[in-house]
Amino acid sequence: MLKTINLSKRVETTEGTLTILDSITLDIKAQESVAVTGASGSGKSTLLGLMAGLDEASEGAVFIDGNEITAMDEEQRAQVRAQSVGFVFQSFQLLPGLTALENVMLPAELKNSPDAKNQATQLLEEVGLKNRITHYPNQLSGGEQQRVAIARAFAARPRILFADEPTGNLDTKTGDQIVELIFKLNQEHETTLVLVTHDQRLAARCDRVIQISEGALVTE
Amino acid sequence: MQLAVRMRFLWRDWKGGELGLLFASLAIAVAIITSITLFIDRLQGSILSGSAAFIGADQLLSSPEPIDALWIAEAKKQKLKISEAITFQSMVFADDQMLLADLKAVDQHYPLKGQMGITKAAFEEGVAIDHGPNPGEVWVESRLLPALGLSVGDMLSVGESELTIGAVITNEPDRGGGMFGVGPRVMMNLADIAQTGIIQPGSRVQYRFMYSGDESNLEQFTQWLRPKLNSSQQLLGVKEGRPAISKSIERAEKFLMLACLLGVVMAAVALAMASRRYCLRQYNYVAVMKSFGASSREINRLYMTKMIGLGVLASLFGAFLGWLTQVGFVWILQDYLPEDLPPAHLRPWLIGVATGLVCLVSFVFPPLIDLKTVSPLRVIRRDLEPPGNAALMIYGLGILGTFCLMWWYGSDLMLALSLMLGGLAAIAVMTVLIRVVLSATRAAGMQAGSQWKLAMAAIQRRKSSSTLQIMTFSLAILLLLVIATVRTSLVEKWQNQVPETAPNYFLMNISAHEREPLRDHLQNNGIEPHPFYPVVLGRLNSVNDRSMVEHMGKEPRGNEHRRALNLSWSDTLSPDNKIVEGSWWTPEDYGKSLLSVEQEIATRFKLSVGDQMQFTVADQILIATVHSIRSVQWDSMNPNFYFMFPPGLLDNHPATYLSSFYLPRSDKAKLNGVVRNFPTITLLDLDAVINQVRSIINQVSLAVELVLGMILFSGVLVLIASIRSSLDERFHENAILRTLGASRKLIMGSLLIEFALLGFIAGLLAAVGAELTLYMLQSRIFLIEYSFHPMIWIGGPFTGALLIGFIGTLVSYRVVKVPPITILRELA
Repeated sequence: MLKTINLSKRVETTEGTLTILDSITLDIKAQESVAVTGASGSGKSTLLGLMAGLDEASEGAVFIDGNEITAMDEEQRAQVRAQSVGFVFQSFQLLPGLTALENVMLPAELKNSPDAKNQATQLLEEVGLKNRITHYPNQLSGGEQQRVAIARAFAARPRILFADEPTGNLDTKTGDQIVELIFKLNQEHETTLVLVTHDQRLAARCDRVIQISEGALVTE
Repeated sequence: MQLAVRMRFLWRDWKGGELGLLFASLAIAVAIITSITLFIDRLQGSILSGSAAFIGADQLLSSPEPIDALWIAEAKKQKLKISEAITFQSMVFADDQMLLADLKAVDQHYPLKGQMGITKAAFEEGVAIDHGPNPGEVWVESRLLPALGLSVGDMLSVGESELTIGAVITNEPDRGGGMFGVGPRVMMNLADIAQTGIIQPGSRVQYRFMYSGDESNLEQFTQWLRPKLNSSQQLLGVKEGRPAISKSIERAEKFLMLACLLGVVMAAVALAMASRRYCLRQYNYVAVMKSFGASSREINRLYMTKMIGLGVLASLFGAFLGWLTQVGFVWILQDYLPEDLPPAHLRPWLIGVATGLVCLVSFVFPPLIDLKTVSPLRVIRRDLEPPGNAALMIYGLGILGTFCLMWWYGSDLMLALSLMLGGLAAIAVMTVLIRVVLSATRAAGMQAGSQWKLAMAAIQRRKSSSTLQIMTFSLAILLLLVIATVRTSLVEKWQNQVPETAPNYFLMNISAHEREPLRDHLQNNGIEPHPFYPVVLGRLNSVNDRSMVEHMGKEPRGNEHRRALNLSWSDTLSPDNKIVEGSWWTPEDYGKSLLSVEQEIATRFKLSVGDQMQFTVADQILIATVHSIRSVQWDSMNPNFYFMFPPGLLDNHPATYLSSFYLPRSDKAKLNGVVRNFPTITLLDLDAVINQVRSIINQVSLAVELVLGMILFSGVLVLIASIRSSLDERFHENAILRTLGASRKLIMGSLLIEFALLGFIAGLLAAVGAELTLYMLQSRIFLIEYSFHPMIWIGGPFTGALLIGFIGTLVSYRVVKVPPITILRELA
């Protein structure tokens, strides 16, 4: 489903070249759940960005469903993201000017889906926010905002869901509820899950844990 | 993405409050230009139709031969209203007395524009009436009655007819141009002309054919008629009819359009800032959409469609608002405006909507270019900014758009270029100056209290945006200062052109021996006459030994080269004359064969200094060399001449004298004595003409005041947009400060100091810029004498501090009102 070969990311700084990721090779199967863990600044988020096709690699290749996204331009990568990828972010990234329903409708609308509204309403029901659909993000608690973000991620009907510290901004209890929700929906929608986390308990829920340190793969 | 979905996105942005300022700025830009152009258009229509009264119609054809019946038929076919008249000179009789009169026979449609004024006794106030005398009666000018010892109701012999004096003429709409008519006016009905037997083949008669109607019909007929005219026939429009008025209108138009332009530029600055802020706030939106698979092309298309949708709606709303404002203007000012304000043309609407679209392309679109380059990775890394390659394009398009608008509104490439280059140079100089002043404030801030320290630190921290903000404030204040000052001096200048005591009576045909007794008579009656100018009649024969047609290479326009000209001499140059080429004579030049020519006639006759002109004066040939060219302020209402000679050259020729004086309306009865004691002199009443000029000047001044009001409004909008553009950052900083325990008083105090200081610096710089701009405008564009403006230097900085301090604190008040957590969460 998702494969990386010798994936590296380097950036030029005033003090010379800085290697953020160094030759990462990974293979994630369909419907597998994988946690990427590591200390702050270890390169987890950079790896997630590269795997999801949000960023360009300095070296190596990323394959999603057998298509090498590292050989694509931004327009083609956007098409792959539209068809196969969903996201959940630590800071939720809900659009403040849109209601919960409109936020969830967004991915389907980008695909010109005629059924965007019904689908979004149903997803919000699934995440338990049936009564909050007309609320704006600033009228929702952190946990509720993350539920909207999860509903939005599944609205794209992704084959892979990338989650970047999905519980990082939440208290333990709310975080646990969110984790439950992600895994439940992941199972129902038969999605491959790649999540970046500090949270060992969350990592333990996954089929596999990948640890990164200073840009290199430590264990798999 | 389908159009409907894109429109749904627009609606959501609107609901979310993201588009308010953008919409308002665009709508205001369109509203300013629409309301002002609509108002000017209607006012101009009214001024022109008022001016049409000067020739009694929209167009006037003057011909020494009868008007071709075919032309009249064609005018009727074009649905024009027509009127015919005949003017000629003839003796009129009463008992055993006779007088040479200027006769005018008019038909029942006369006058097509303007109104006649009549009364029942000489030199009394008249009432308006919209027709001429009926068959069987004559209306006469006041001075005829004492001269012939008659009163209303008596009989007057005109040729072989006896006609009843039905009224005294106090105003004749198309008399304005005929200042040098010799005899008093006697007006009769055209139907009585045949009976008088005066007009015989070969009689010296002018046939006047007047017509009025819709602009397009008028234009069509005039174009049809013009090629059919011979050189002795003259076609006069409103502008040709009264050069003094057309000049006032042109000057006003220039000023109003310039003022409009400045208003729109300000709204455009507000628009550019609102658009920039909108785009900055869209970065995350775009990143999220891109992470969900939206391509750059789709992003581009989405935002362009949204902005076009917004642009169209804002332009339409702005045009409606402009119309409403204009209706409001007319309603508020109904007492000062003419009742029959004509409807506006289509042009103001087109200008309004086109302005909206130009603003959209030049100021809203450019910042959008950055949006498609926003990286989707921003969903993980908030600090990622777009590469900003579009900066050149953003500024380039903005500058180009401003330039196009300047050029378009002013229809003057040089004016647009000089404004543009001046503006850019000013921005460069101001950037340097602001940086210097900001560095100085840092040192001062170190020693100040904590509110001051906080304010200084905020200004220093945002050096770049503070510089930009000072520049924007400065621009807004500069424009306000310039507009307010130019308006004051322009309005004053206009009103001074025709001061309250401008001469309203002209005395002509004064013989040399009557000069002193007349002056004594006037002074004994408390009237102070202006200088007596000698007038010698002469005809122009040739220029540089070539006939006028040879000299010009074609038949010259007008009939000055054929008719007798009033030649005069003087040792001093009138204050309303200015030498534009050559020099005025010195006492050594007296008696030499020199002359000074008025500028417009010099241009028309292709004359320059050094040319030799030959005249016939009382059967003698006079050759004189052009020594100077003069500009003449004809609207001063003072006596002025096309050709002036030095003293000593024409002294031996028989001369009559010309003078003028001011007489208040209440003293009009004194004129009876003047006419009775000096029956051979000609007295002309110019009260009506002066009143008309004055009313036009008042209307124009009023329009200028209104424009100033509109511009003030857009200036405030710029200030709000500018303050709002830095608001997110301020909210964030102050929310953190409040979280750390800073009191409301501390934060509000520091905000007030920060904004007031920014305003003060901006006002100071605006004063420098305004003084320079005024120097350029007054000396180069409006040709008004430049004077230093001390009020600007006081008003600029203090208005800046007060205005920016007040608006800034007001707009930022939410910083202390909303709980810090809400702001931190909103901006997370």
